[in-house]
Amino acid sequence: MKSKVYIIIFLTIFLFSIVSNKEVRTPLEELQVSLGIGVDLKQDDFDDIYKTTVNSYVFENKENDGKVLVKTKYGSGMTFRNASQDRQRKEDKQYIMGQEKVFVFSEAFAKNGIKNYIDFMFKTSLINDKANVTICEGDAFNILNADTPKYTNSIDYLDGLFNIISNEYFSSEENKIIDIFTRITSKYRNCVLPYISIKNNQIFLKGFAMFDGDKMKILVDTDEGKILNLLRDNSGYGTITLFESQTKALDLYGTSKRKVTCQKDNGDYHFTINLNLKMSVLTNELNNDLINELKVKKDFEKLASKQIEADCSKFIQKMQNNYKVDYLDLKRVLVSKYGRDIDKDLNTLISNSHIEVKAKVTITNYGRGDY
Amino acid sequence: MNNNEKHKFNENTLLYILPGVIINMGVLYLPSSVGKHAKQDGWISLIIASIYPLYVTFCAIYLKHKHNNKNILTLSNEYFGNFLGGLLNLLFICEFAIILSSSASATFNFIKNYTSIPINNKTFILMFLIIGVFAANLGLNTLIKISALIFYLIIPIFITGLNVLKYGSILNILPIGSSGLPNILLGILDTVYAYSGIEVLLILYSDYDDKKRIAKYSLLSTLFVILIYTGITFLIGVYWENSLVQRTLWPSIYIVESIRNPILNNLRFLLLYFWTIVTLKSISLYFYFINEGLLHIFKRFKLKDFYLAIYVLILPLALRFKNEIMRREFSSKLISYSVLFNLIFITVIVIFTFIKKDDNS
Repeated sequence: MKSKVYIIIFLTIFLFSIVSNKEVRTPLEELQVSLGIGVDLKQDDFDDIYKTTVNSYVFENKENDGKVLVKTKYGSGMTFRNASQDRQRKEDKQYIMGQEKVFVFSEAFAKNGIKNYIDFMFKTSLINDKANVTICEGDAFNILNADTPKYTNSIDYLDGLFNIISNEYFSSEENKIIDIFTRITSKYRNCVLPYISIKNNQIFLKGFAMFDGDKMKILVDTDEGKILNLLRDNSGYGTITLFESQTKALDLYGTSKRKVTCQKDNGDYHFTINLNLKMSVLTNELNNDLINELKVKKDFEKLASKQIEADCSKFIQKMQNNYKVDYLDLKRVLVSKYGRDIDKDLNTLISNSHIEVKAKVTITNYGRGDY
Repeated sequence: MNNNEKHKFNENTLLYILPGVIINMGVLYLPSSVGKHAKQDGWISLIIASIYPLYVTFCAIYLKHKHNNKNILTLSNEYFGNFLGGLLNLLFICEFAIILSSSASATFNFIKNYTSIPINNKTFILMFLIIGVFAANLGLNTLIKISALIFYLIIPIFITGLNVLKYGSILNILPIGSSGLPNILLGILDTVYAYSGIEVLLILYSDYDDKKRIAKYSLLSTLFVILIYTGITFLIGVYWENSLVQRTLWPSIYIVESIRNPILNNLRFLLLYFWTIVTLKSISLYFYFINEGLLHIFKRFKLKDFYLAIYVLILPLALRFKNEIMRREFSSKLISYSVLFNLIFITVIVIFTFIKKDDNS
C-alpha cells in the first residue's frame, strides 16, 4: 500500500516536469552537426583577432532527396566566444557538438600559444575527446574550405589521413585532444603534433610541429620527424633505408620500443636511450645472400643500428645546441627517478647532460624470399 | 529492533551491502581530492586511511562477540539512558543523512554536466529521492538483491579500467613516496568522506546470525572497498599526471573513457547511466538505515516507518547544495565532523563494553 503512494508521488512529479518543461525538442533537419573546427589568429598592432571556422553537416528535408550537405562558416572576434558569436549571425540552425573529427590550428595561432583554446576544449564536456588535432601552414580557413573532390569535405579526408598516420614515419597516433591535455598540462612532457599543408588543392603531411609548453617552437620535416618520433616513445611503424647507390639499397619496415635509463654522476646526468627495433625486409638489392647466410643478416642489423644511432645522435646534438628544449620526454624519466622537487631549469639540465643512443635492429621477417 | 520481517542473510550479504553503502558518487572525484596534498602518492594515503573502516569493522566484530543481539543503538541506550542515548543515536544517524543528501545533489551535478537534460535540480532530486524511498520501502531483502547485482557489475567496470595501463606510464607515480610523509598524512584528511558509511555495519550486525562468519565477510567487504578505491586512484595516477587530475572535476570517469574503440568510441554515457544506478542503490540503503535508526529512537510512537518524514527532511538539505564546488566543500566539512563524532562514540561504546566485562568476571 505504502509503495503505491511513492509511485503516485513519482508520477506526479514526472508528469509535472514534462508539462512545465518549456524546451522544445528539435528534429534532425533543424540541427547542424559540427565535424571540424579551425582556429586562426590575425595579429595587428593593437589587437589579436581570432577567426574560427566550423565545418558542419546539414541534413536536408525528405522533399529535397534528404541529402547531407557540408557547409563552412566563419566568424571573427577578440576571443573565441566573440568569434563564435559573430559566426552565429550567419547561421540558421541549432548547432550540436560531440561529433568533431579534426581540429585545425593555424601556425600563427600555435606559435602564440594554444592554451586558451585548450581551456575551452577542457571545459566543454560535450566535445569529442578522441578528435585529432593538427597544425596547418597558412590559414586554417583555407584547409577547411578546400575543395577535395571525392570527399564530402576536407575534414573527412584529414580524419582518414590521421587514422593511418602511424603507418609511416614512426609516428604514434597520439595526437588526440585527450593526449594534448596530458602533454600540455605536464611540466615534464612536450607535445608533438602533425603539421599539414595544402598545395594545388591537395592536403598533405608536411612535418611535425614541436611544442614547448603550449607554444609551437619548431617545425621539422618528415625525415627529421621520423628520428624525433623514434626517440620520443614507443612508436608506430616506419621505414629505414640503407642506401649505397640508386640501384643498391635495402629497405626495412617495422616498429620500435624505447627504454630510457638515467644515471647521476658528479652532478651530471647520463641518459641512455635503448631502441629495440623489430623490422622486416621490404626490398634488398645490397646482398643476395641475405637469406642464405646468417652472417649477412647480422652485418645488415649492425649496419642499420649504426645508421640509426648516427642519425639520432645528430638530432640530439641539434636539440641540445640549437633548440635547447627537451623534446624527448627525458625530463619525465629524470623526475621519476630523482624526485619532482629539482629546482634547476630542467631544459638546460637536459641540454647539458650526456645522452647516448643504443639501437638494436632485429630482422624478423624476410618476406617470401629473395630475388 | 522491532522488525517484523525476517531477513534472509546468507554469507555474501555483507559483501554486497557494505560496498553498496560506501561506494557511491565519491569515487568519481576521489583521485583529485586525495591528490590535493599527497600529489601522486594519493593511493598511499588511501591505504593508510583504511585504518578507519578497519577500526570500525573490528569494533563491530568485538561488539558482536560480546553482545550477540544488541546493536550499537541498543547499547547506547543501555549505557547512557533513554534520553542521552537517543540523542547520541540521532547524531550517529545524522552522517547517513548528510551523505544521502550530498550524493543526490552530486548525481544531479554530474549528469547535468555531461548531458543536457532539460530538468532543474529541484525536479531531479525530488524524483531521485522518491525512487530511493520506494526501493528502501520494499525491505532489506530487495536491497540485498539490488546490491548483489551492482556488486557484480562494478567488477567488470573496474577491470575495463585496467586499459589505461596501455596509454599511461608508471613514470607518472614514480618515485613512490616523494611527496613526503606530512603531505601523505594530510591526504588522509582530504578523503574522510570516502570511507564513511561503513558505520552501518554497527547497526546491521545484530541481525546477522553467524558469529564466526561476520568477521570474515565484513573484513572481506572492507578490503574490497579499499582495493577499488586504491586501484582507481592508482590507475588514474598512472594514466594522468597529478597536475591534470587536479584540473578535472570527475577524474575517475577518464579511466573508462580511455578505451579507444572504433565502434563504441565513448563509454562515458554507459558509465553515466550505470553510476546513477550505483548512487541510487546507495541512497536507498541509507534511507533504510536511517529509518532503522529512527524506528529505534522513536520506539514509543509505534509508527511503521519514517520514510516520508525522512524524505521531507532530507529535501531542503539536498537542495541546499547549489553547485558542485560548494557541495564538496560543505559536505566534506560536515562529514569530517560526523566522522569525528562517530569515532569517539564508537570508541566510548567499546570501552564501556570492555569495562562491563570486567564487572561480570
